[in-house]
Amino acid sequence: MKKLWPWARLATTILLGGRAWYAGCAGLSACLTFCLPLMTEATPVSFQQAVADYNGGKYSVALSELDGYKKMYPTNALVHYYSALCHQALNHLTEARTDYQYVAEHGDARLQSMSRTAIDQLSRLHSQGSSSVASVTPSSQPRLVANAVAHAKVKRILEFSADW
Amino acid sequence: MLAATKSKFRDVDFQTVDLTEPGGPGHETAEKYGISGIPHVVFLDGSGNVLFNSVPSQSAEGFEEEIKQFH
Repeated sequence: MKKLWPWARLATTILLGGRAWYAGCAGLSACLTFCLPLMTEATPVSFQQAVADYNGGKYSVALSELDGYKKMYPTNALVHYYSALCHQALNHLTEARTDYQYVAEHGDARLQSMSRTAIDQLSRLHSQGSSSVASVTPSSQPRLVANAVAHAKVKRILEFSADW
Repeated sequence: MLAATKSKFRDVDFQTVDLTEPGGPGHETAEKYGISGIPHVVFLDGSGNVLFNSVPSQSAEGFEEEIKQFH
């Protein structure tokens, strides 16, 4: 029995060591699973930046930025409109139509009109069987920022909201 | 969002325009500035000129940065 004792101790040490190693790996894995998304999550950019990226031809970048706005402001027609423009530019015609449709139903008169025009344009494209991005004429853009008055300071801020 | 930011810009007059009621008084203002969805913010200078007219940032910090551009 005494001869077995060192072997038992060795086996126990290996077993416990293995469990500790396994626990360490599991902990690291859990940490990576939960922390990495937080570490790699993009810092929210301004809506203006998303629009600038769209205007600069960075459609995928703009789209991912707008996705954040869509999650936060799901009923904002302007966000949907720019999302539609990005999808259209990326030839995601089904997604573009979905966003345009939302704006056509929920936007103001100006955006509704622009969205209906875009939907007509997409329909014609579909009926022609074309899938070329180049054949899609970029839709109109609403005016977002007035010409800034040089060195003017903000004195009043209007925030438009509703209890819907 | 305004409540958290107001105290940091005491010289700016913050106003909420309520668009809950269809045809309510806020809608006339919304039409004046071409508001196409909410939330939306408009920054005005002392003469009523529009400095910024857009969807606000998603965070209070981002919104404050937008104000600082004109402050």
